[in-house]
Amino acid sequence: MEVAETPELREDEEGVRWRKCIFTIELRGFAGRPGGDLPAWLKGARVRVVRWCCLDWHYRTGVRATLTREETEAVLGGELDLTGGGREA
Amino acid sequence: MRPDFERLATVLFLEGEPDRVPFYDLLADPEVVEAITGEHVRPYDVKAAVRGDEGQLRALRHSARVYVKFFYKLGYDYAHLPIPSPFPRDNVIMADDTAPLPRPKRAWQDEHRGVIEDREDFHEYPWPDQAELQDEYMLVYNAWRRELPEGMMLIPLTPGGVLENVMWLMGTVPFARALYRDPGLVRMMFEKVGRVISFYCSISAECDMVGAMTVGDDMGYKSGLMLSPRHLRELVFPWHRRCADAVHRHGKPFILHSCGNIRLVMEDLIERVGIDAKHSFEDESYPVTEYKELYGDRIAILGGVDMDKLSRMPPRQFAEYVREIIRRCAPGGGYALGCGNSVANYIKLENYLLMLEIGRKYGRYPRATAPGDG
Repeated sequence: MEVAETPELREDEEGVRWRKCIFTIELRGFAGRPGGDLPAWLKGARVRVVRWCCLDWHYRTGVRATLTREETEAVLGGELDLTGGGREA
Repeated sequence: MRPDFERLATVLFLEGEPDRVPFYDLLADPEVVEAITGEHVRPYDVKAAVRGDEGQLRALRHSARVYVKFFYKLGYDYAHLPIPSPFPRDNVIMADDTAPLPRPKRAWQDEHRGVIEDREDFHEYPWPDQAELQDEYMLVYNAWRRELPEGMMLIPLTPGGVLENVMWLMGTVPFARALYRDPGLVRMMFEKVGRVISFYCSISAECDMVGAMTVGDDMGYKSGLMLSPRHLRELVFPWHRRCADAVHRHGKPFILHSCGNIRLVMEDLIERVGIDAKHSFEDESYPVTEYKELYGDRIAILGGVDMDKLSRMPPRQFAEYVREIIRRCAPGGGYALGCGNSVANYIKLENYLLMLEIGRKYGRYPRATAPGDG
């Protein structure tokens, strides 16, 4: 997993500042058990998603990350860039 | 933050990242519950309560209210449901309690003496009747259920496990001797105890407000297993499998709490028994971070904040230690924060509360939507 920071910041109701980031996630398998196998064309595919981060460990690379249910559906439908703005997002 | 059992269910089913790392603890000692809630926990006799004894019923309902309050107040998404033990025994040793929140006496297992050491003892023992167990269970369940705030569910814990109850009833030394001198008696013991423990799993899983089920069955020491893998596979795991199957039949996750270094049989537990989550870790021998790395893609990993560090580490150092566990175990989900063993009366209350505070703040996951956008 790779993390690219963007300059965009937002504050939540508790005053915590969250930074918009683009995560590039390499697909390994489905979360959950029994997970079933990923379709062959998705194994190792790289998916770009938006994540808002506020803690040092959110920026760690090379760790596990999980797509949301909606993101999973989109990926299974063939979309690999879910940032809404193409490569420049 | 409002309780939401879905947060913990996401972890137990390995379904990704919830909004924050949830909390999971096996149980909380009454002394800690009293210290946190400011209310006295009254012991109750469940058999008398089933018979309609008003005083015991009041004590049971009071306990339910206070325990649920404890879990709610501290930010858990569930309340632990204690199932009273149906296996009476007197082979315990009482000693002074040196804990910071002491109880009058601390009970220890008498390893040299059992209440069932031979076949005669076995036949004379007052084995529980299943219909009575069900009445007792339902009385306790309904008392706890009535106190549940919205969003919370119950996680029952069996009163000891299959191996534990056999070893407690027989005494460790007589049990070890009987394994070789009278294996038939040992098999009869496992049959009796296994039926009761799996029955609890079965009736628990049927209850609508039960979100998951825990069997606590310590199988190891710091250095390894208490019993050979062959004996565990032959005598214990078939019953664990029956417990897991009973819980899975209702689409609920099965949590195994087992102290000790049980690495040798982890594959059995994951593949053959079908556990969904493992609880109980100790830094010196079986650290949570290592288990997360080894098994975290197949089962949920729960707790793991070392009991010794909870008891003795200076708070500033302890805070950094807890953050490091979150850093290493939280990414990707499948992890709940909690004590390595239980919320015991010998841990430092200050450290325990600090652990939860760090979990609430430092356990937040990256969000897929911008703050304020839902």
